[in-house]
Amino acid sequence: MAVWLPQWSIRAVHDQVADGAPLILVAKGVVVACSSTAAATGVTGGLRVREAQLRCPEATVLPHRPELEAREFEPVLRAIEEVVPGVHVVRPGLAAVRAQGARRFYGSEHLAAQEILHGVRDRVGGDLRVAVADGLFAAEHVAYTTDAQSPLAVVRSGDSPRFLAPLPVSVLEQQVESIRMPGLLRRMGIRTLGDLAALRRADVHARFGDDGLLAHRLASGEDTPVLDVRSAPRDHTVRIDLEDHTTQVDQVTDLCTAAVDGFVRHLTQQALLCHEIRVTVELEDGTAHTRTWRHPWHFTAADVLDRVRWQLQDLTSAAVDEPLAHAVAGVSIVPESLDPAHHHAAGLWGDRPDEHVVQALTDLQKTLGHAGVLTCAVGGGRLLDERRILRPWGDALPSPRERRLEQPWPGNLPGPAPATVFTRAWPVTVLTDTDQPVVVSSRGQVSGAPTWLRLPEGRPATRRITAWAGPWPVRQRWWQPTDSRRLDRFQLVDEQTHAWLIVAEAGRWWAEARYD
Amino acid sequence: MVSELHELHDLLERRDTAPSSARLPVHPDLAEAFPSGLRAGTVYSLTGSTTLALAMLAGPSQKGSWCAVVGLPDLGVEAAVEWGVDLDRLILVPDPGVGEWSRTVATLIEIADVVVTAPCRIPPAELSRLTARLRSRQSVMVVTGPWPRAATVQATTVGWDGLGHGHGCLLRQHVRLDITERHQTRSVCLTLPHEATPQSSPLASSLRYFAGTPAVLPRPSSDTSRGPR
Repeated sequence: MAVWLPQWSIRAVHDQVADGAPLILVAKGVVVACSSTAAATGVTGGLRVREAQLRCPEATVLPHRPELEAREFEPVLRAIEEVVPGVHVVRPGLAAVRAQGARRFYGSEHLAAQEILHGVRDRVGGDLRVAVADGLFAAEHVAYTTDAQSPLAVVRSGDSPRFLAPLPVSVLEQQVESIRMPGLLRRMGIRTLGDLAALRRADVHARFGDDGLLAHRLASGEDTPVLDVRSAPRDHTVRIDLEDHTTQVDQVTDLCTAAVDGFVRHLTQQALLCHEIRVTVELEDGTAHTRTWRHPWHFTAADVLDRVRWQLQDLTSAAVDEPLAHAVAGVSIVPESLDPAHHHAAGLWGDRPDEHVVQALTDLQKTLGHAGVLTCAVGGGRLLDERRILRPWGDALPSPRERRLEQPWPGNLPGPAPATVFTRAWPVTVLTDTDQPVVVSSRGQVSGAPTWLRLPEGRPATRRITAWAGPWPVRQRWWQPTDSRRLDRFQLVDEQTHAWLIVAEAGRWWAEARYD
Repeated sequence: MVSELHELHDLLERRDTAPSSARLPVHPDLAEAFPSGLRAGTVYSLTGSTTLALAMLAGPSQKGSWCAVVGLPDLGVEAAVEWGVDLDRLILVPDPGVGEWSRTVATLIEIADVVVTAPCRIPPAELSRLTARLRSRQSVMVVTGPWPRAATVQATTVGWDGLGHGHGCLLRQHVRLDITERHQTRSVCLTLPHEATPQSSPLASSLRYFAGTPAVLPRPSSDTSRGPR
């Protein structure tokens, strides 16, 4: 049994324009759908936008948004579900339900269809067609034959092949993967589904493969797809309301323990794993602190509690045992990404560290703080400190795609990487042999050969430069007015045979790294 | 009964103050400096080179060991990758704090085979506890500074290849290592990295060009040096 709402793409966005005004939906510069008033002026699907606007200049052009259509279709689905349970969404605008149970319940298919028609019309209104046939494919095409005056059509059981027979083979285009097959059938003189169904199935299968088999089945009215019933995603959010508002971090986590245990147990029972959670801490003064935590594997109850504790500790921003400035009114935990557990079954050799390593490092993290124990990776970037990615142990490192290491980074350093990359660049001074500061012009010219390097510490603080190279320009985001940086890099070796990577930026000099 | 005796014997042997004969693998570039590998259960006091500390991590890391670096917030992670350290099994503790230092290192010794750490002043009792733990776990601790009763590795940079006056780029470092292990001192000259930069680098061809230019810095005169080809 198919329920069809004609022109759904247009109806989903109808509230954005005046009633009856021509409307065109476009995607990738091509018309996807148009309202009936626009269609009257000669606009059709597949037309270029410019051509469509030429034919109907007063039409409103909107981008086609499938997700909006799907969202708008939800009330219709709910209305159908109230009459007949187990709705399958073919696409926004077309839904299907199994007729068998409805027929038994309402007495006949016709009565069931009428029931749906009235039920949905009362709730949603507008043009609505209901069709009953042997399969989804047949029912869909029966629905297309109805009109607004007689919105209900029933093809009795067994009559579907006869109904389908006169339809042209081009209706198969949406059903089979091969694009060329309907055209090929036409050229072979097979113009209707009836012609196709008259052939031997084995021959069609041999000529067209799986697509041919499917097409033959559809043409013979034998399609009985398994309707996958729409299931609303369940909400696993946990909310902990603290009745007596407390300012002690430990007290809050203690009060959360039971709920978090229940949350993880609940997920385990559903055979789900969670590797991203969003923790929201609501304070007494009405403010809320939200933070998303990612886990490289999946969260256990202790992990979730640790995240809650760290988030509360970040709020105190001081000593670990200090009470919070504002009392905590509630904590809510939302699982952001859930995955079936069987996707994450541990391999035979394990893709995660041993249990004792995890245990030892997590314990260490409890004493040193969340950011005290780090894991690292190399990412893309021009400045060396940007290329070093550090994440607290237990947080997921960015994926190789997010690291963008393979992308070309013009201005990258040649040669071996330095072993010491300063987290905070050292301010240094580079002088020529006449004790004048070295200046790099905007065209990359050096005012004099760098001869002396003056360091903020170390003995001797002023050293003679024995070898140097540069300037190597680094232009970061020059197309942005605010975030852009102009740097010039130098490699130096001083008389102590220490090698340095020095950066000149706007007349000031910094030591970026040391080769040691 | 006999097996229990053997177990006891093994336990005593492990507790024994005599250093064991177990060795940890080293990176091929360091094979000359440590011909039989790193002595498990000892402390190496390394001065003068962070690169060498990374190179000492590389051997065990490639063999699947966990490694840890304590108190070096400025560590160049990229250099570690170039040496072949597996970052998936590298733990960084940038700033353990003086009070928590020995506890942190003790915990990391339990899981990591090599721990590189900045030196820290700790009481003698804790020092001996740490040494005992190191020996029983058969790990290696590399301290980037002076350390009591440790094997010392003194690295001195002799010169650099590839950099001229206004041209070229740093390619190779010539280092002299003075290693004192069990009252025996040996001196080795190394070129780090021994291999040229990877061919996949887009700059590889220009690097080969630079490598051909005469170096302006003095080369090590020792015969043991493996100079650039």
